[in-house]
Amino acid sequence: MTEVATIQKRVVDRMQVRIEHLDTLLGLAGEVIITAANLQDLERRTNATSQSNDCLGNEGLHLIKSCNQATRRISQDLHDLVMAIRLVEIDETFRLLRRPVRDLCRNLGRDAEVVFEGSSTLIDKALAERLVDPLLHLLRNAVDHGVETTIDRKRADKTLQGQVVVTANDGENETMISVADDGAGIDEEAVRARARDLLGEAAADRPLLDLICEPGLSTAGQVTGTSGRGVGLDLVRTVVDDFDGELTLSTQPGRGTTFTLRVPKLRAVNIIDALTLRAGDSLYALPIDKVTANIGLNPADVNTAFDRERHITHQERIVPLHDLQGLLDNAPLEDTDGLLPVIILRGRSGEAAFVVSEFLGPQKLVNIPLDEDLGHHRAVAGTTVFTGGKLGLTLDVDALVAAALGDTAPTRTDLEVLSPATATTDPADEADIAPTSEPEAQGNLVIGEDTGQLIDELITNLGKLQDSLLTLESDAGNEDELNHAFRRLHAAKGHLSVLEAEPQTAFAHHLETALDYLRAGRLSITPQRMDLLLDCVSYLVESANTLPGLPESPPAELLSQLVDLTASDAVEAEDGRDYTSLARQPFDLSASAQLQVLSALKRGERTYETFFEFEAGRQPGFLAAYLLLRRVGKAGTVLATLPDVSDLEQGRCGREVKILWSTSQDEGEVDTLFDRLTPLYNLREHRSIPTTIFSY
Amino acid sequence: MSHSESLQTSLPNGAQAVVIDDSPTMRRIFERELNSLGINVKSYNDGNEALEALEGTIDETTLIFSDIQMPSMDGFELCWRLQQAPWYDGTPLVMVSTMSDASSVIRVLKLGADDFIPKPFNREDLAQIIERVLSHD
Repeated sequence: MTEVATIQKRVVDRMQVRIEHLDTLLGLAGEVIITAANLQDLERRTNATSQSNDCLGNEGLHLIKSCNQATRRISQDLHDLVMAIRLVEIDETFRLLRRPVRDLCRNLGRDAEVVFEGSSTLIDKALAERLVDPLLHLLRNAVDHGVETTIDRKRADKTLQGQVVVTANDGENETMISVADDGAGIDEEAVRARARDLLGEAAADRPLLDLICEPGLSTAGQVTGTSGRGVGLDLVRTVVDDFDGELTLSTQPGRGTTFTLRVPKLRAVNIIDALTLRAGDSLYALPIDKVTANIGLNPADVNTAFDRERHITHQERIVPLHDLQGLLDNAPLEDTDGLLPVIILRGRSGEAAFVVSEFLGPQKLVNIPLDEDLGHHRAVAGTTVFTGGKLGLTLDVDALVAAALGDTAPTRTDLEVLSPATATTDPADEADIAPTSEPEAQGNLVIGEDTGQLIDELITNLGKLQDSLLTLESDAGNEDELNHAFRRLHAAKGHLSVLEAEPQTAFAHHLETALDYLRAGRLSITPQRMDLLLDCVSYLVESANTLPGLPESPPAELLSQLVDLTASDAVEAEDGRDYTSLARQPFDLSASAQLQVLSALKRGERTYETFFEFEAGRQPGFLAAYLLLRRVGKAGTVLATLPDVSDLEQGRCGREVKILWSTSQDEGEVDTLFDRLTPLYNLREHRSIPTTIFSY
Repeated sequence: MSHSESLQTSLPNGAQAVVIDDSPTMRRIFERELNSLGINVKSYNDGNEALEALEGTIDETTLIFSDIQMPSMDGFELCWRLQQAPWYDGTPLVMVSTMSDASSVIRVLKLGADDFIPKPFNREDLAQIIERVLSHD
C-alpha cells in the first residue's frame, strides 16, 4: 500500500504535456493577441465615430463580427485543448496496481493471472488518480472472493490458474473500465436470502449490486486480511458517483463476475452538486455532500450558554449555532417569525449549524475558483453563476466550520473585495493573511529545473524497472525484459549518482550486481528473490520521492539481504531442475491422499499449506526439509509434500518445501510453532495458509 | 542472539554428552567445543564400548553424538542397535559425518537418528543442532 502511496504522491503534482499541445496553445495565444489588436482598433474607430456622430459603418461591423467569431472559436479550442492536455493514459493507473495485485495473489495463495487491457486508453488526470483505490478494491474482491482455490477450480474443470482481466475502453461519450474474473460468480440467491434475514423482506428485492454494497452482506464467507473490510464497494460507488458515472455488476454462477465502471468524459469546468441558499442579500452555494441536515428550527430550542455561545441539539449532539451572514461579514440576519431555516454542515474539524434566510434548493453549478491574487476569505471557495444569471459565492465548508468552531477566525478583510457591505475591518485580522509559510528545509542540493527533471526521470525509470521485474516474474526466460531491467536500473543509478544520493547509488550498484547475476544465469528467479528485488526498487522509489532532500539510508536488513543474494555461497550450483515456483505450485493429490484430507476434516482438524524457505547455508536443503517434515508430523498429520517425499529422500529438494498437513492447532499456534523453529532450521520464510473446508 | 548464547537458557544443569568417534582429533574438538558450551563430555572411539557404557548411564545422558564411518561398528548399526535396546529412552542422537549425501543422511535419520551435522562444523553449528534436538518437547 505504501507503494501506491509513494508513487501516487508524485503523480499528483505534475503531469507530462505533449509538445504538440503546447504548440497548439501557442497558436491560440497568437490568435488571442490578434483579436485583442482588432478590438483595440475597434475601440479607436468607435471613439472617432462617436465624436463625429458618424455611424460605425460596414467595416466596423465586419470587425465586430470577426472578433466575435474569433473569441468563440478560441474559447472552444482552448476548452478542447485543456481537456486533451488533462488526458493521460490509464496505464499510469494500471501501473500502480500491478505490484499490490501481485502481492495480494501471493498472500492469499491464489494462483491468478491479472491482465490489464486497453492501457493506452486516455482518461482525465483527476479520474486516473481517483481510480487507484476503487480498482484495487475490485481486484481484491476478484482475487479473494471471485477466483476459487486451485482445488475448487480443478473440481469445476477449469484451468488451475484463475484469470482477472481489467479492461479500459474508450467510448464516444464515456470511458468504461471493467474488472472481470473467471471465478465462481456471486450466489445471488444466497445474498438475497441473507438480505431477507438481515434487512427484511423488502430489501431482498433490491438490485444485487445494492445488496452486496450493504455492510454485512458481503459475499465473502469470512473477512480476510485483504478484503471484506476497509475500503468497500461503497467507496467504488462514491468515486464513480463523484464523476457522475455508473457502477454495474454482472455475474454468472460458475463463470465469473464483472464489475463495470462507466464514467462520462469530463468537461473542463468544475461542476459541483450544490445546495443553494440565501443569507441576507447574498446567495451562497455549498457542496451538498457536506450537508448533514437542513431543518426548521424553533427559536425556543436555541440554548445559550456562557452568555454568548448559542447551540442547538441535533440528534442528541450539541452543535454550535451561528448566523451564516454574521459569521461571514458580521451583518445580522433579518428577524424572522416562526421557524428559522438552519443548515448543519460537517467539515473536517466537526459539525456546526448556521442560520440562513432561505433555502433555494439543490442545483448543479459551475465553481469558478477565485483568482489567487485577489486574496480571499478563507471560507469562500469561489464564485458561481446561479440559474437566472445572479452571482453568488461558493463556500469552503471545511473552512467555514473551522471558523464557526473557533479554530480559525475568518479574515474579514478579503470579504470587502467580494461583498461591499462589509463591516469594519479589524487590523488584527489583516495580520492573519500575511504569508506564514516558512522556507522549507532543503537537502544539500539546490532545486533547479534540471534537478526536478532528473528526479522525474529517475522515478519514471524506477517505475519501468518495476514493470520489467513483474514481467520477468511471470516470464522468467524473457531475456529482452531482463536486459531492459538492467538498462533501466543502470540509468537510475546514474541519476542517483548525479543527485548525490550516495547510499542509494551504492544500493543501486548492489542491485545491479544481482541483476547481472540473473542475466548471466548465475542466479535463478525465485518468488522470494523477486520479492527482495521489488522491495529494493520500492525503497529506491521512496528515496527518490524524498529527493532532493536527504533520503534515509537503506534499511540494514534489506541491504544485507541484497548483498547476500550475490554472496558466493548463495549462488547455487543449479542442477537443472526447476525449483522456482513451489510456493505457487498446487498439490496434486492422489485419491488416497484426498481421502486422508477428508477424514482429517471429518475429525474436526484444520488443514494448512505451509511453505518453507531456507537460508542458503552449509546445511543441505533436503535435510532441513526432512527434519521439518518430522516436526510437522509431530504437530499434526502430513498429507502431502512438494517436492514429494520420495524426491526429498533422494535429496531432490532446493531451498523450499511445501507441506499440506492437518492439525487441531489454529493459525496462531501454527505460526508460533514455526516462528520458534525459524532460527533452529535457518528458515528464511514460513507461510501457512489454511485451506478451506471443502477445498479438497 | 547467537545459538551458543541462547543455548545456555535451554540447557539443563550438568548436561552430559556422549561422543562416539574413532578419530582422536575429532574427539578432542568435540570435547573442547561442548565444554565451552557448558556440556560435560564422555567420549568413546568405538560403538560397542559406547553402548556398553550407555546402558548404565542413559539416564544421566543428555545427548549422544556419533560419527558414521567407524571400524567394527558403523554409525548405521549403532543407530539401529540403540533403537533396539530396551533401556534406550530416546535421548537425542545426532550423527556427524563428512558423508552428507542424501542417501546416507536420510538412511541414518530413518534408522532413528534425530539430526545430522555435516563435518566440518563450528561452535555455532553445534549449538544450533543442540538447541534443535533439545527443543523437541
